[in-house]
Amino acid sequence: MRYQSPRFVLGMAVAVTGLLMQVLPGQAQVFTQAQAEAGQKDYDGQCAMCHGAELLGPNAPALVGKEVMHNFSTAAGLFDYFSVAMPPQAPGLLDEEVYVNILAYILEANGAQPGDTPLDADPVKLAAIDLGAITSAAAPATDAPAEQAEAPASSVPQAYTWGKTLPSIK
Amino acid sequence: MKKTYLKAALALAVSVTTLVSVAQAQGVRENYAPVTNDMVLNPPAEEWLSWRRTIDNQAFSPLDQINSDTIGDLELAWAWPMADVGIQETAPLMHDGVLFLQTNNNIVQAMDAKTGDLIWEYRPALAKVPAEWGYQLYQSRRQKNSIALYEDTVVLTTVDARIIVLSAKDGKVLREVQPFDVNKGYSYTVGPIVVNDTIISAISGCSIAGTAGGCYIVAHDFNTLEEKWRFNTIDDPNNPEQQASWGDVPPENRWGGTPWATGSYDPETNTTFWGVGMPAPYAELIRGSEDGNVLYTNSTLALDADTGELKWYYQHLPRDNWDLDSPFERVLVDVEEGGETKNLIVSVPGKNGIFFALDRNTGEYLWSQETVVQNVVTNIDEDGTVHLNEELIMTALGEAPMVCTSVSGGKLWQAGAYSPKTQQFYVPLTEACNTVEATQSEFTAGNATGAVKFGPRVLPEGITEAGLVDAIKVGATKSEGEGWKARSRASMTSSLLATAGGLVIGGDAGRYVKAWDDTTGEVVWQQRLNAPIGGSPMTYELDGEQYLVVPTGFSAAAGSIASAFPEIPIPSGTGNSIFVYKLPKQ
Repeated sequence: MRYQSPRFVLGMAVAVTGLLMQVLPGQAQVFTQAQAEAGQKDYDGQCAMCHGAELLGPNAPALVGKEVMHNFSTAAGLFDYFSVAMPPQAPGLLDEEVYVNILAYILEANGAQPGDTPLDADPVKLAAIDLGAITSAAAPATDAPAEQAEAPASSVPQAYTWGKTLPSIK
Repeated sequence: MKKTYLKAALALAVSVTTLVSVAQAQGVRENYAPVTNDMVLNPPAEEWLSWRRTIDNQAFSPLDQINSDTIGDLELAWAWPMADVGIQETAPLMHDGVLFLQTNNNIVQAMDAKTGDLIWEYRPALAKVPAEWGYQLYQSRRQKNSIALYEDTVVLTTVDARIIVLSAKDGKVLREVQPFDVNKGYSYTVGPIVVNDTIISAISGCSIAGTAGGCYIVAHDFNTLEEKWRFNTIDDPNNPEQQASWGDVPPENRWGGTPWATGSYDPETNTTFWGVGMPAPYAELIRGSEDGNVLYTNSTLALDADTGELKWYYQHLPRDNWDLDSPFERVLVDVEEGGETKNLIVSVPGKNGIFFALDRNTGEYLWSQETVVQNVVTNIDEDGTVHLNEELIMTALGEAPMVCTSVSGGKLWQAGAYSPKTQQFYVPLTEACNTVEATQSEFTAGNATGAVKFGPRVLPEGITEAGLVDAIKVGATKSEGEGWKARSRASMTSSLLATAGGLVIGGDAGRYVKAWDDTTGEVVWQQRLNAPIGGSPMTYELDGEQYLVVPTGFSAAAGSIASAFPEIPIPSGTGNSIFVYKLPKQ
């Protein structure tokens, strides 16, 4: 057996990891890297002064985290809010492309992966993007019957209904 | 020889000079007169000793040098940048010529109230929490109000859940206690009241995941900091009705009930009054409480100040599903009617903006009055039973009713003022609605448990002006056709101050500080400053001259409703400052 250099082993590991990242379930690619990069510039200019360079606030609420992604629920939920209300110095007044790019950046900051499909402001498409599924946020176990469901392990208490199937019109 | 003496004398002179300047730099206010218990209960007319000047939370100053006739002559005496950024909610206090200023992250500064010179500054070393605990970190940038002055100390509650007693003379820490665990999510965001050698405070952070099951009003001995009592707003084992009101939800799955406005105190009955906030999760669909009223959320609590025993409660908004919490200032007012004195507690306690008058000795509901557009409460019976618009209660994920007021109010932390001169309560409000949609969220440490998605704030149909100052005539019964409404395009962003000079003073997101005539609502003075008017304007008198303090700065509430008045852009800078005015010397 031929000796493999550490660099080769490292290279293989990186390649395998990259492959795994591409095939991980639930990580549909809904924006491009170029959009996220443009979005970062717009975010830094329009949003970071309150929401923070790391999107963690603290002068305005954090924009990354499981709770944030679950609460906004879909990309439409997030987009419909901030493209109307934000930023306070120019509420709803930025170009649509700027809002779309900022959305791409927020999704990337939450662990979503870029791909070949560009994001656009089509409300139907945005409503179909499940933030919990495409970011690193874990989705609640809504498929299991209420009485049998077990909530995922967590270091903090969860809602009384967590893990239960709730009525939905979605 | 002579030369040596000269050198030594020079060196001595230099070192003495150095010592003096070091002493000045450390900042000491010699001969500071202690704030006695009697002064807390009945402050000198020229001073501002508590959050709302008096411990009944009225925010009325008996000073009248600045009035409708003179206010146009106001000049800037001095201004000062605040010590930290974040939401501007400061409530300055003034005693014995010292202006005490608290800002975010619990920095306290003592200023010469006449000259604007800094006397001392205290910056606490706060406990670090992980950067991912975004909601909890946010608390440290939105300090609601105030410190308390008692004897020769400043009593400070901190965002890492401590009570710290500082020397008012030099800002040094005298003693401190840690009543709650910051690592669970607890933080103080409002100041305490101190009366009868007792510090009464209320903890915040009760909608953060780790704090499940407990939200408290707590009393400590002022001298020893030993705990005297605590009252849990969401778990009262002494009241079966309270327990039943959460349905099957056990305490370990209950959140909210945060009393996030400083309470008031009635010395006649030794009772302290506190408002309690919303339940969490916000929607009963997620909360699991079915049609329960989830006590004591959105209630007024009357507690015995010595024991913490509940004397009575009244729930202003049962079964909240929309984060319309009701913790705001409870104001104690005595009115003469039919030859007898009525002891009232009045308030616009909740975000939905409804004014309530209760008998403060019994908790009996007397009357109420709507202010801004709201669609949540349909009617209130004569016995005080509140009826809800049940069409707005979400019964399935995906439902998104349009709810008025919005999660940012209506009413918010900006406090109203009561004038005994006019017998009117003046309250700053915002017209707004938003969609509310329940979501299933996994809770994480340091983050909130609301589990609701709010849509952008919009003006109610037919309304074009977001800001409203509502003047409500106070009595044991409702007076029809009295009071006034002053509207403005931009939303209101500061608390109000009422004075014997016939003025109501406050300001808006458009950076205007305004004085309204207290009987007509006419604007008699306004100036445009550097940022939204914020915090709690106050006034004091020194050496025969009346001063007016106006805080300005960053306003999250303004930011959230800014799309309702896009032609008035909100500054992207923070600009947190105070502006101190007085009349020209005669």
